[in-house]
Amino acid sequence: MRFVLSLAIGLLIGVFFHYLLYRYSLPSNPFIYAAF
Amino acid sequence: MSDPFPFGGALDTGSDGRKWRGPLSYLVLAAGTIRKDVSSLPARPLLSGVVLGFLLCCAAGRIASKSVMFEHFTRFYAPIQASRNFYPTASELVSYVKGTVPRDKYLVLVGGASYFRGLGQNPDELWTLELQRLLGDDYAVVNYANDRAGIIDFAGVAFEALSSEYPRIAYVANASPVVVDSPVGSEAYLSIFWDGYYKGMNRFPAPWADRVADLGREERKDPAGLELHLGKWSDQFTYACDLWTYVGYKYFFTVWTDAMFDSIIRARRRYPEVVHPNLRQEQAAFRANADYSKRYEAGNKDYSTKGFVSGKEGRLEIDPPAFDRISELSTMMFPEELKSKCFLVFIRANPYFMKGFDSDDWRREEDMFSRGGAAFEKAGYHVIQFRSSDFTPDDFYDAGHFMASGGRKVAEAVAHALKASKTEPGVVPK
Repeated sequence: MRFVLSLAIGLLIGVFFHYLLYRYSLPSNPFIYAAF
Repeated sequence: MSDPFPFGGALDTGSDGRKWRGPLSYLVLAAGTIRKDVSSLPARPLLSGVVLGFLLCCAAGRIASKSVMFEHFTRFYAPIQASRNFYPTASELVSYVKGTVPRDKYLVLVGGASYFRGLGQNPDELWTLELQRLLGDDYAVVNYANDRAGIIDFAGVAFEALSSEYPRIAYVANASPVVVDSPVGSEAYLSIFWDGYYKGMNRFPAPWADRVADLGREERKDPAGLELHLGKWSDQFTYACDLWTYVGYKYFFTVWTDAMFDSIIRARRRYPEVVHPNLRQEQAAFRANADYSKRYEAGNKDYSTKGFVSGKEGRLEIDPPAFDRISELSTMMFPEELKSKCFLVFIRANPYFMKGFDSDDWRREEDMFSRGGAAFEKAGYHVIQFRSSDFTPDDFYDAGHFMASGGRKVAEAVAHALKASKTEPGVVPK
């Protein structure tokens, strides 16, 4: 049971690290919309 | 013992004399319990889970990058634009076309900015629908124009990648006679270019490739540029942007966006495109807005001086070296083998906001468009020109975007140019 729990938490952390790569790739400066 | 908590100590005495715990202390106790339990978990399965979870996401991202993500796609309307934190990857743009357009079709990929995205046109009035109707079934028109995108940005990257997949392909984008894009595009959409680049989707020979490599090196000297390149370089392995953009479109979005405050996590595919019933009223409002009119009158006047220098008696005269430079710079915009497949549409401003133009201003305007067209044609591009009299104020939503009637005129001109380019010289297409 502890093995499964440990593995599950690890999977979640791995998924989170992958998600962080996506979030870090988003521009930090807002895309300023301007009608022109 | 001092009370460390603002909302009650670890043990307080209530008015009834019983001992109780403050609300925050429960949180701290729970955190302590979780920490003890987690730290006692076996390490190897935990670490294995981290690696496995990460690799599974990488695999899922690769699968997502090859899928047909968009549903009922006609254009990049608001919820699926960069201004709403939605950034499809180069892979996703390419996969959608490959999954929906047969290889034997003549693919017409439309790029450029909001002018070609159809701002000012309702979904059923979109000019590219008219273009498809005029071209017929042998053609497939895909509108990848996006707000503030230049010729290279966004759709241009997809064009470069798809050029090796479709024997018959054309790229149509709005352009200016005096503006040349960098071969890697503008800052707002750099991530799409480098995404395609590091995934090997737009590799072409020198000299274009050398210029792109030089620009990449320059960008990496800056911390923000280095971060961008590192991110996109790593994404060729992890496909993180592909996966989580796909999840955000299909299932739930995860990035707070001010303009989407009504539902933070709603999947972007669940936002239908909105019909604007008051475009004519908004058109009238722009015309009635004195500040807006003044700003665009001044802007149009200034624009008509580009490519000119002060000459005798203070008159502005054409500056031929400026247009030579335009021709020279534009040779690098696209790889050599793609230029003949590019159709640059020189759009005009709304004449309603050019009332202050005198005869000299109009002369310069026509000269600028003519010289600019020749400069780009010399570099190898097709240029689609209009006369200033081709559009009336009613063809425009605001100072530059087209209403349905204006869009139909653009569609007609583009269709004619595309069909003419297919025929043998001397044969006029029907």
